[in-house]
Amino acid sequence: MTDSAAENVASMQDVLLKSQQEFFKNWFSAVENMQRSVVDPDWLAKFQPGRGVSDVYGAWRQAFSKYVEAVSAVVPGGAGMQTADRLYAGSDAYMRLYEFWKPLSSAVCEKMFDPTSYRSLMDPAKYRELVDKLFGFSTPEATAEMFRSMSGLFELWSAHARQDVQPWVDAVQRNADAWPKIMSGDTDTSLKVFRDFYSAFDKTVRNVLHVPAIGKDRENIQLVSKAIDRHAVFFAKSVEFQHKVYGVAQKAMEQVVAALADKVRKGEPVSGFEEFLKLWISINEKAFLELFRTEEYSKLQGLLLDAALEARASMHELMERHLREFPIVLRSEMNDVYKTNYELTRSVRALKRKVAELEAQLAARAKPTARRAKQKKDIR
Amino acid sequence: MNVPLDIKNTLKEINDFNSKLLRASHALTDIEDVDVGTAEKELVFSEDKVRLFRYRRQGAPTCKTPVLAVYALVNRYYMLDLQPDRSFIRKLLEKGIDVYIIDWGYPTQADRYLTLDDYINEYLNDCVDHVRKTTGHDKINLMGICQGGTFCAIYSAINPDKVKNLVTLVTPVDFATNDGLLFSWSKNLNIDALVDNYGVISGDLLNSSFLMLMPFTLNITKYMGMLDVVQDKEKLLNFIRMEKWIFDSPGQAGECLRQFVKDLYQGNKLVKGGLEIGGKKVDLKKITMPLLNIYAVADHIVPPCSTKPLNDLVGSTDKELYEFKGGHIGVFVGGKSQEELAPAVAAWLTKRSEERT
Repeated sequence: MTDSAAENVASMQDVLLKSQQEFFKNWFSAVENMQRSVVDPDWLAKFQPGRGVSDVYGAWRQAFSKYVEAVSAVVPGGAGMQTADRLYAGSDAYMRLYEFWKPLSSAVCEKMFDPTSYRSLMDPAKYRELVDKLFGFSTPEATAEMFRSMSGLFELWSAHARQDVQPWVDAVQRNADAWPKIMSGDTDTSLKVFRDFYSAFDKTVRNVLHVPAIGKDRENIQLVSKAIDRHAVFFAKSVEFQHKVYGVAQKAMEQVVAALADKVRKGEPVSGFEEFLKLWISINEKAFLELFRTEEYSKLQGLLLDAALEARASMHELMERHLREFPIVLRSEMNDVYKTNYELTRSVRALKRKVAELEAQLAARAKPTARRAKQKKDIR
Repeated sequence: MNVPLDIKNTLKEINDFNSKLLRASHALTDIEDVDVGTAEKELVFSEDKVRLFRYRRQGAPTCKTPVLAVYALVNRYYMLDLQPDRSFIRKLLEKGIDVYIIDWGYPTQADRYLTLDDYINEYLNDCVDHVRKTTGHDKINLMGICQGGTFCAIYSAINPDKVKNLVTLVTPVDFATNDGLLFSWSKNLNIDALVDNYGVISGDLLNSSFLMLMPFTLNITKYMGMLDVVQDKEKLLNFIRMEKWIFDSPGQAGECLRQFVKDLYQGNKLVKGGLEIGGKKVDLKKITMPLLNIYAVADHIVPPCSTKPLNDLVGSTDKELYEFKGGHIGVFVGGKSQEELAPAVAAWLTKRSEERT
């Protein structure tokens, strides 16, 4: 094994080891979170006397919900656990709406309820969290994180590109003053300059000759740039889509408040939160169905999905290029295998059918011949 | 403005809610899994990931011609036999029908290139041939549900000589409608990009679209309702069985979905004409066998206006349109399904299975 090959193997082992370490780190962290959520030392502290018994349950609910989420992440659960997971998502929306409703209900109780200025009683951030939860929107933090990692990738590739040039630049700069001495026949200086330039060659061209093709880095940079561009388009479409949903959610809430105000005006009693919840659900379901039925929404949803798929495709393209240097089978290569396998299976099936047909024909032809032969034998 | 808000009741509601949630947590985490599809059956044929089962029955069938049930690719076949007392299959068996069913299986990336031709002209056809060969019938009865009904209609149009009677339940045929959200959303779906990207479209992705058809009811109200039955173990298990079925969605082989969306959802070729499956032209007028077409009045997934036109498009003279008063899923699991629909289907089939064609 050459030194270079040995280095490659060592590097691969290093990558595998790191990935295993990373896996176990994540595993332990998940288990730790799971345990912590069950025996959360803070959850009792979250209970504040005088704020009602619901706060105790609220703290417990959050803790248990985290537990189910953590368990589901590491151990695929049975039907009961999976239903519990979805139940918590639903109950989370219930409690979020309750938090949102509390200031409203206080205003109703204190006879301060004014439907025209209900917004001052509500926390729009909390309401947005509720809508995000229901529609599965990614948070701004998640989007920012995605952009940070994309930028990191871009910088990495730029750094690679610079590495190819920088050793030569350094060598030239270091030896610029040495040329007069070389010209005067100073062999030591010549040797030093040769070593410097050989070192630059070793760090760049030799690598280039052995691994990447000329212009590869530039292609990679273009690819990263394209991926960032597509993610930006997706982000823009996503914002447009969210804006549309928030708009409807806000209008629906105005209708809910108007309906509540109507009751207030008429002097009808409000039985409690669940009445508000039912009203909120029926008005929202109707409002969103109206939105979903519009051609505008259908088109926007189509464009959003398109943008997401383009961004995903460019990330895959980038990943494949990056992974090409590793001794693993790539997605596109597997697709070729699947395609070949599919076509071969179809061919074999068609040929089997043909063989069966021919065999049946032969058998049909053989029957009368055998019958005739038997008849002849009988006559004799 | 003098509105008495019942504070005491509000606090009680929240308290009750959290108490129920606590009880539900204990009850749910105690349940490891639920049994579904318990009617006895045996595997009689398989090809790639597709399996054909025959349900075991006591005594000889009174309906001479066997029935092959064909479900949609997106859900699992055991919806027809969710639990012993909510089983369309058991009802059919009870009424003397000999029932076979296809399990399409779970496609993996290796199946991404499977087309409608593979599913209809190969798998479905091979299952039909197996039933014909092993039971000695030249023609058998086909019963297609949802997308499985569309497959059966296409198959019957291509192979009228192999189908004695056709029953379709909540089957989309006319895709031009925008009444159902899936129909309207599909018109603006770039199916090429989706299939090229994913190969096999995950069931979770499709399920998230189904949940968006009624986001508040399906994400909140349904689970709040579950809290009320949590103390009743049997009712809770029923709920979980349904949940299991809803979220047990196999992925979709990309090439098959590509053609289904392009030719049907976007091109409406079953109605307009021009549909070809594996080079074979599909003309619904070639469906000449008796047809029983069942639609659900409150179907939010396949609206009646997409189902009903089949009766006008086929060449059959003996055709019946059956209105089911319920929703898409109620067709299989509701009380009316067991008491009215399954016996009606069995009676319709039995009557026609005796007749010579």
